[in-house]
Amino acid sequence: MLYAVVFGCLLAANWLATGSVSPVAPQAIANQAYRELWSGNIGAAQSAVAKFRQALSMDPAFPYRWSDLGQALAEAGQTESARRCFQRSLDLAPNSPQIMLRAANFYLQKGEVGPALRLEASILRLTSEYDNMVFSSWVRLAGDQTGILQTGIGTNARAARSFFRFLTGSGATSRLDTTWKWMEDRSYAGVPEAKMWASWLIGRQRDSEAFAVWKRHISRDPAFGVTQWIDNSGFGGDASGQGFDWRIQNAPGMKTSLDAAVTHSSRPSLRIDFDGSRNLDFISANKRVWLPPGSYLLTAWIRTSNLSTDRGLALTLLGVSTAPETGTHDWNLVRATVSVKGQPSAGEVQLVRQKSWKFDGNIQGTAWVDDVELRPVRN
Amino acid sequence: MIGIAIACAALAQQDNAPGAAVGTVSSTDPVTINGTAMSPAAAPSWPLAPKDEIANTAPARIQTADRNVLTLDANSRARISSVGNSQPYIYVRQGGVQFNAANGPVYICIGDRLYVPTRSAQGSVRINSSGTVVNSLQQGTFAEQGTRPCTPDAAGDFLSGLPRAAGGSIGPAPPGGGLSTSTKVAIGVTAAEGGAAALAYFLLSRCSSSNGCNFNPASISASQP
Repeated sequence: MLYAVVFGCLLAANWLATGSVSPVAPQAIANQAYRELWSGNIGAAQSAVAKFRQALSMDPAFPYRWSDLGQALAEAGQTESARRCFQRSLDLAPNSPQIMLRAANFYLQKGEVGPALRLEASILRLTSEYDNMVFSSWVRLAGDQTGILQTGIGTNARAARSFFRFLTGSGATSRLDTTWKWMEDRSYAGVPEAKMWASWLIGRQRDSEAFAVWKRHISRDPAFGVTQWIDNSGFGGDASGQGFDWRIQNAPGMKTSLDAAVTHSSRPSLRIDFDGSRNLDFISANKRVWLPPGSYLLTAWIRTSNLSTDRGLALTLLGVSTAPETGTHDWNLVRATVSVKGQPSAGEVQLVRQKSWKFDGNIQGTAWVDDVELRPVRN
Repeated sequence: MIGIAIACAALAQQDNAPGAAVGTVSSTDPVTINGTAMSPAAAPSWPLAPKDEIANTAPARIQTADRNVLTLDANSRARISSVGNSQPYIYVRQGGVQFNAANGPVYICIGDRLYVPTRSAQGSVRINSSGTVVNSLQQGTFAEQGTRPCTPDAAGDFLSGLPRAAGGSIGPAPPGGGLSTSTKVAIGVTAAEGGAAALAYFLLSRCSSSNGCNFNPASISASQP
């Protein structure tokens, strides 16, 4: 009877303290501690530390409890105690990315970059899930880029490529040159990264460097940059619009597609169908070029079928244009001579249809374009 | 003594290192820092660097390096930095912030006007729907209450242009003269941390994997985990 009364009193006391008659789980105590920690009240960190200690004493082998306590201690200003808690969490869960991330955040918060980078290098080897969070912390808090690359990336080519992609999109542009060179030296850079890098360079008027990157990593044509200054002169390769790739566009009144059935060479041609609903003034395809000083012959093969109006399809580069193709005819070679004087110039080969000033200017019909080439003219 | 001095110097250098954290941010939902979503599922707290741009959907708690607490309202956008001796400077672009200046003044630039709650002040400043700044105090006072203009980043001489009550150098000295209380506390804490670091280094340097000096969980106590 006495035991029953005592037991009842204990249950009642527990109910008063926690609102429940069941024993309090360590997680519930930890949740209370987090609420306390995040309350913003004076002394909240110390109070949270006490609660996290209580949760930990009930569950001392659970690594998250050690991380929780470490965080609360760090916020309470007890740095060395926090450090030992994070180390204990790592001892208990040496391959947990989340435990490592929490410890790394503690080290970064304390300005201890080396241990943070080593932990985050381990995370990147285990999973790609936290890549961007890790990289964001690096560019904001880990200082020197070479140290980041050597310690944080090391021999992890996947992480290197992911970090590079992050940097191109993050605005941390000052780090990109170092990273690209580091990746290139180790053969970590693939074609997607090379295209991204070339586009980035072009966007900053660094076309000659972009051209060199394209030639080293992307172009499969040994004549590119020697006797032929357009890479992928047909339309068989990518049309990503990045770097020196073709960019192919559609618009109301016009549809572009690749046509493997009607070609001038063995590769697909570019087919453009005009539906007669618009008097278009539009670039249907364009490609970046970079040219040293000299004269060049721009050529292309164009075939047309019932292409209406006085304004047909033409190629332009650096203000020079081929004669517009209209009507119906078989493959016809169009050409224009382009001169680059003084400094090397960047330009864009464009396949254009200019607006007609005739009464019935809406364009209708089909055109095919193939084998667009740009070759130096020997004097 | 020399060891303590070296440890203090090392700590001071570490705090001044480029990229040193100005605080941490925690929230129940992801917080975007400089465009990257930092998930609480990955880590409940993220360190913040000077000039970080923060955007949050749920209320976000910022604990600054000097252990003041700022809580950004949900759907706020702010830029965090520090001035002087690691005192927080926050530029609120959108939303609002609750402050608990437990350890010293907090510099809040909102609506391009400066608000400086003094030590131990608690309250909030917000940009309301009409674009006006609304402030309230539950405790303490403002040393500056929206009379001065401010910018996203505080200039190097920012503090020297402020009255002493706001941590600057203009006007009469606050009671007690000389160093402000927060500065004295900061110096005391730094010295204590330096001493502790030197002591910890001295003790830990005697531990290695070969001598079996492992950390004992049972050693957790009120003063030492």
